[in-house]
Amino acid sequence: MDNRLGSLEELLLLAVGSLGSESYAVTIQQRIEEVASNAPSMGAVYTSLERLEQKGYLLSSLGDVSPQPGGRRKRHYRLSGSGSQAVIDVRSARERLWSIMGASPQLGQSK
Amino acid sequence: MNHQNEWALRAGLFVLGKALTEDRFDEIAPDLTDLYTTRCKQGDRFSHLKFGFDVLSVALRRNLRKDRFSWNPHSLSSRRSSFMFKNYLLVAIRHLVKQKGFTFINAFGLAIGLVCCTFIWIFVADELSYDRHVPDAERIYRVTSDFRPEGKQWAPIGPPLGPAMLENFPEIEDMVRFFPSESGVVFKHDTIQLEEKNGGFADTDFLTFFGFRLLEGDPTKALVEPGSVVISSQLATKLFGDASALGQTVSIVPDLEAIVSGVLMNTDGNTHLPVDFLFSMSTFYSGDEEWLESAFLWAGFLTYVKLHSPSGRATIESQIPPFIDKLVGDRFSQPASELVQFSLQPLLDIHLYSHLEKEYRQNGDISYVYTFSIVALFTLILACVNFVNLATSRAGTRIHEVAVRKTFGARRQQLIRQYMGESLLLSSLGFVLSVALIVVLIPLFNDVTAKNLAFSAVVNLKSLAFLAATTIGAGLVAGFYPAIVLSGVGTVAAFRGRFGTGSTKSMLRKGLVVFQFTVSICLIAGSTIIWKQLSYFQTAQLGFDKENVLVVRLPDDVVNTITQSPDPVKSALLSNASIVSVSHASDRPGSRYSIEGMVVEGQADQEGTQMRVAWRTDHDYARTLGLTIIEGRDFSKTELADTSAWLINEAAAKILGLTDPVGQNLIWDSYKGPIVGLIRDFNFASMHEEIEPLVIPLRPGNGGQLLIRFASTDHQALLQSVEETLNQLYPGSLFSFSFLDDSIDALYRGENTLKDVTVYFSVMAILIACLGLFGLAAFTAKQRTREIGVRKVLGATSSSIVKLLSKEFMLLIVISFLIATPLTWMAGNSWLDHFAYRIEIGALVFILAGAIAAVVALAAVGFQAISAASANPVSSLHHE
Repeated sequence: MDNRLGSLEELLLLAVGSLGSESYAVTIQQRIEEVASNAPSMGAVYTSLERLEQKGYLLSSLGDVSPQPGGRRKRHYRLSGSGSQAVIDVRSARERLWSIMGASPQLGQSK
Repeated sequence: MNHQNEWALRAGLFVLGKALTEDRFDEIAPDLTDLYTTRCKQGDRFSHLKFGFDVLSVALRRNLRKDRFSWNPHSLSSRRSSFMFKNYLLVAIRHLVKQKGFTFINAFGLAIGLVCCTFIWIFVADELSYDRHVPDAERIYRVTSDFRPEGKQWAPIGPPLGPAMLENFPEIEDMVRFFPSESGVVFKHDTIQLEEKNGGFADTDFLTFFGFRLLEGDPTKALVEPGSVVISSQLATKLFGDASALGQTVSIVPDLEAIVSGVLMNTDGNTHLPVDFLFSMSTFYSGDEEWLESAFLWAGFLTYVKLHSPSGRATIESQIPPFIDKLVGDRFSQPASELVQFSLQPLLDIHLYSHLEKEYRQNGDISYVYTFSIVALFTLILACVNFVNLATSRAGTRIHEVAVRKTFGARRQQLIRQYMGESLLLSSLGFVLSVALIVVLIPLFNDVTAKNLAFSAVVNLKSLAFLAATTIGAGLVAGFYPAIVLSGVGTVAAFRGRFGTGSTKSMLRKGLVVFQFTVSICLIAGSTIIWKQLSYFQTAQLGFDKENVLVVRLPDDVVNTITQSPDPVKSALLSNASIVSVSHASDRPGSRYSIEGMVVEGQADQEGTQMRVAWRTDHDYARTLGLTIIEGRDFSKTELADTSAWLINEAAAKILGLTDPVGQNLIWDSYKGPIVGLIRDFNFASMHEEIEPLVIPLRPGNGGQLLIRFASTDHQALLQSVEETLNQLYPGSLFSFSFLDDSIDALYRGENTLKDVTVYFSVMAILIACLGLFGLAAFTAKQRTREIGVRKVLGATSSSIVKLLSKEFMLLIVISFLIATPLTWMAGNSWLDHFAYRIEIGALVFILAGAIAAVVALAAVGFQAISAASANPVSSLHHE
């Protein structure tokens, strides 16, 4: 299976990590909407979450039934070990690239 | 959560349920529902859109869908289905583009029908919405009075009756009264001076009773103190700008000061009682208490009661006569219940059904609502029929395509799906067109119906849903025939180009054409009748000269100064060379003259005969209006006797039983004088009614209106010079001007709207019918190509072939004509019966309508017939 991370997938993993115990599909989408300029659609969120789970980056469990009438169980996501590792890998790769670019005059000139 | 949201939610969940597996649905649906309801609660304007987007984004995701597991990009069947879908779409688009004219005609025809129907639907919904926003509207009634013996029903009743009824009848929960200001009020604040027409004096509970909400002030206390006024937010803005209006003082010209005690919030709801200002009832009562408390038979106050339950209505109505007798006692020579009767009129019926004396404003009319609805329905059916007709007639051209598809193994179901889909594609094109047309036509619609509907009132979720449903319906029905018939043809027969053209189908098609033309002819004839009746109104001999009369309404401060003699206004105006005569009067033709009892001196009847009275007039009234005196003379300034005198019309002479009226003395309360002249009957009300008895007393003084007859064609210049003269005499006063002919024409506004609507619709109907006929003629010509070829080879001329092809359609038009004529004749006559003065429907109307239909049909058919007839027989025989 292809284990590379797409940019949406990366955002999702980060959002799950940042939300802690409150990470459900809707809150994840809203978190990304808060911080990123173009938010993914709900459809994209569900699909990608499933894919990430298949890749083993995310673990999910059904939560408790919520107390209000008609309450239901929400699927709750958390990062797996390999998921945390994957975002850390991406980050370090990026940081290396940034540091290289910082040394080069290209970016400064284009400003 | 309102209905709209409920439906959106259901639709969304339905889509999700169809698309997703059960597990996923259980997880995702509640998420999206939560999101949607939260957004709605937050008042997000785009919550519907966002919800729709969310639903689609999920439902269209291939790997979330139910069919995901059967879908395998490498399997042959799924590749074929996706490939075929693309092919269908491509073929459909190619066909639509190839036959641009046909596509346009068909989509456009459907769009026109949809547009008409939507507009009428909105109009009807708007008319039916009057007063529905009032809390407990279904339990509210207006008490109306019915005066004997002349039997006129009046909207208002006497001032003391309302409170007495509230006290006496346990069925009544609440009661409010409203006294409309008849001529409007001039408000003054600093330098701003404004005349407002909608409003009056209202009881304390008025605001809560009718569910008014206030931007400023307390609705339960705003109308308590004398001298307090509640104004609309528009008026508040005009007077005080952005500053708070509450507690401000406004001057009411001429001599009242009022304190603003509340500002009305704009209400979205339509009402028969639009108000811009409301004075407290105590303002009205101060000083006149005694008279008002005893004015049992003065129809002045609009009185509304709220019952505990609608069933109380009958009880109250039956108990009113003894109640009123007890209340009034023996003030009159007869028991009061013999003079006047009362009934309760449901609030919700007022706007559409009520046309009583002294209505607050002119109401709508239920018969227009019915007429428009029927017309709209027919136009829609017409458009759908047309769409079906055109689409089916074109189906034959696809027969070879069907043959090829069948040869390559297309199943019947696939073909049905393909043609249904194509038809839906075409009808959605109509949908898009219709939305565009609606947006463009909103101003015209507002203009014609004298409504003021905003864009959002017209294009909203409801109307779009309606349009979409109709579109899909028409698309499915239209696709049905080609789909079923074409797919059912055997492969070999299809190759030979043969498919069902049985006689039943052509009978059906002919029937549809007859239907279309019947509707068209009805509409053309109908609008001609309405148009004729209206122009009869506008050109009929009214008995007075409505042209060249300027009416100036004088503000109260001016009126009070005019009692002195010689009259300064008159002499100033008459110095203008183009002004012929000037009259001060309280009434003019087209306004409501009051009804009073008249007694002829020496006659036994001392109760008096009820008739219309021109309340105040001066010497120049008859001359200024151009009335014809057929016996006796006009009022004269030189005759000393003319300090009090009468002019009466023929109807009055007749009802008073006077064969030789001139010289008789006529008595009205304390006013007594000789009848000096008999005037020819003139239409001082509208042509809906018979001319009533009218008497004109000579009572110069503050009439409140100036009637100015002029002999100039430059209305603008005249208006300017009159205004200048008046402003010089009374600087700072506010005058309002109108021309008599305009206000007379305004009496027929309802009929004018009806005329405009029927004219527009008959154009639409004939257009749609012609589009249909055009398509059908093309179809027939195509079917008979070989027949035409053979005929030509055997020596038929082009003209004989055109005749051959047209004859069939002309027969259909004749049948339509025969059906339409009696229908329209009956409907037209029953409409004309509403009028006291009416035209007779001549044969010409129908001949004209039939001729228009025939000519237009001939043009549509002829074009096809000529192109078929002039084709080279070699190529037409080669056809196959």
